[in-house]
Amino acid sequence: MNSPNAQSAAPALNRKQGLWREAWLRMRRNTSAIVGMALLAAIILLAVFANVIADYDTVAIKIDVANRLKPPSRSHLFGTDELGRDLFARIIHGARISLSIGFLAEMATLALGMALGSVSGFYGGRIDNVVMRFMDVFMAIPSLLLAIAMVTAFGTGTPILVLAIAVSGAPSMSRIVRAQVMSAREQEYVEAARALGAGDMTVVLRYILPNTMSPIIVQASLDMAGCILTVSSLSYLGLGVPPPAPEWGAILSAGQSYIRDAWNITVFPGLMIVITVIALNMVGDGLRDALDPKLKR
Amino acid sequence: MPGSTDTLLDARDLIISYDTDNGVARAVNGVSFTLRRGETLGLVGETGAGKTTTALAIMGLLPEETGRVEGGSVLFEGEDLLTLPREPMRRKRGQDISMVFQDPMTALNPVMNVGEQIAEALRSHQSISVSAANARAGDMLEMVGIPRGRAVEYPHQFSGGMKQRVVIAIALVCRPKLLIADEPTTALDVTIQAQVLELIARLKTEIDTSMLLITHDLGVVARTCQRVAIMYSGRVIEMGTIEQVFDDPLHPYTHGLFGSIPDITRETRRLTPIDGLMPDPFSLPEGCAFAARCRHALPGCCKPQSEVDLGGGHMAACWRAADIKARRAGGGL
Repeated sequence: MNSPNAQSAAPALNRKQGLWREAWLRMRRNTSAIVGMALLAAIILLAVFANVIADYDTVAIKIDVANRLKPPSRSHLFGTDELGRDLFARIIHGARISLSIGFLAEMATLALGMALGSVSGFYGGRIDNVVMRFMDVFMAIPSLLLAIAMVTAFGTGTPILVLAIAVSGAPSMSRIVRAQVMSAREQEYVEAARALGAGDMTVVLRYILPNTMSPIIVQASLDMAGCILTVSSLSYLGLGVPPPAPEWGAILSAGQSYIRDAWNITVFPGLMIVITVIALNMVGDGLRDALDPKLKR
Repeated sequence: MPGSTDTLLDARDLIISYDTDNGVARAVNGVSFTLRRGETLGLVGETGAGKTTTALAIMGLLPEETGRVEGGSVLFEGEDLLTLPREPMRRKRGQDISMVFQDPMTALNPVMNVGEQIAEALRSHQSISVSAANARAGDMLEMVGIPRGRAVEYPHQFSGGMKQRVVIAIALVCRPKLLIADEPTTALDVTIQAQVLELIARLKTEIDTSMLLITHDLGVVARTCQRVAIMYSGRVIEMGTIEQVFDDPLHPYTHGLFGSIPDITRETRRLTPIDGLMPDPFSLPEGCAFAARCRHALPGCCKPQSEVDLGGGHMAACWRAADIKARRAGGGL
């Protein structure tokens, strides 16, 4: 941040990044957040370069029954599965699926939650009551059950999966957004914006929502771990990504019948799920500390 | 004068109440005043006298669920603002009527740089390109004495006085005809107050706007305003030019107010405060709201008071005002 004393030097550097640069400076000192970010970066890199490391068509889904159920070795880092497919290749391709669906689902949750939450929190009164009672109904249904119901009703496939997770996650997100919007709309700068003739849309989009982003970003990063878990759970139950796509939950599920002879088929995808979820939680916690205005110097 | 062409703002018999859990709070009970073009009118009163409520009613910003205008009119260039539909009223705000709030610490959006905030005010009223709006924002910053290079900085990088300058720049960027300043210096350091007042007075002339200055500081009124309206318990109880009201306060409350200010030229150990408190807005007395605290109260004060014109536009809402004036002229007070 630009020091307040250096007034004459035109601070061309701190355009938009003001908040983010400060957050980054604080986050850098947080070991667990850095570890989480490193882990996450490694997983993302593996996912991005999955095809370079091991081609999808010729390695990840190529059946080679002669080599089935091999233990980890130099040629098969994590061993092979019950159909002789290289487990390491499947797991890094699985990272692609988990991360992309997790990310998309979280974005959809955010979009839904922010739209409903800000309308509800901004207008209050009857609109708030109607929207929130509706959300309460959704919250009363266990989210996994709701997702299962939606997938069974509308069929499997990535769009349905994303939608199912978003619909089950939106109620809690909308509550957080609503609470934030309610406190932000009482701020004097909102009244000042009105006094300058800003309309409802401008007030919400330019004044209220930008000021509520910190807790929402934190919640979103923690939520994303939940999304990835839900995708894996659904796949484990056979309701997620259809085979032969190497989803972690699906690999785990397929491997459990061989757990006595080939521990690697269940352990490695399970470990990946755990590592990804822990990494996301560490980053989320770190963000929460870094973005908390109360901790500002 | 009411009806004359140079009247910009004419509030008449404004009655506003708030619905609360404890009942109806009668915040404003028949406020009337006029503001001429180019003039600065001071609206003075203690906390709870209804100053800010009056200002919010003019802006059309009373809290929607609780605030209620029960009567009266606010004519701005002959058009009643209280009956104006939402959208035309929104367009008037910022463009024709602007407001400076009390606390600059909270009146700026913390996540938008100050240049953008100034440009935003301009762009919500005029179809102007982004670069032209940014250029105007830079001009405005220089007008309020901030280097234009600081337009890209965020509010937390400015001091309180600087922030109030930015708030003023935002309020004036559209060159409004009326500026309402709600205690613009109360939240500032004493050393900065004079600077900011001077700035407001200078810009007011430069931009050729009229101003309604809300304050509880009679010193501020004396140095900034041409006319003053004293409010008490939701009414204007005395109004006139600075000279009329300051040299010859005719309402006993105004008189009491001046008795509560330390005077540097006189050797006094104690100030003479007004005994008692302002009446409860939940249960106002029928007659003069000040009667219970007034040294001159008579049985006749239990009737509702109307304004008495004492000549030259000097009005006081006290039926004994003429009497007091005559007695004072004769050396009785």
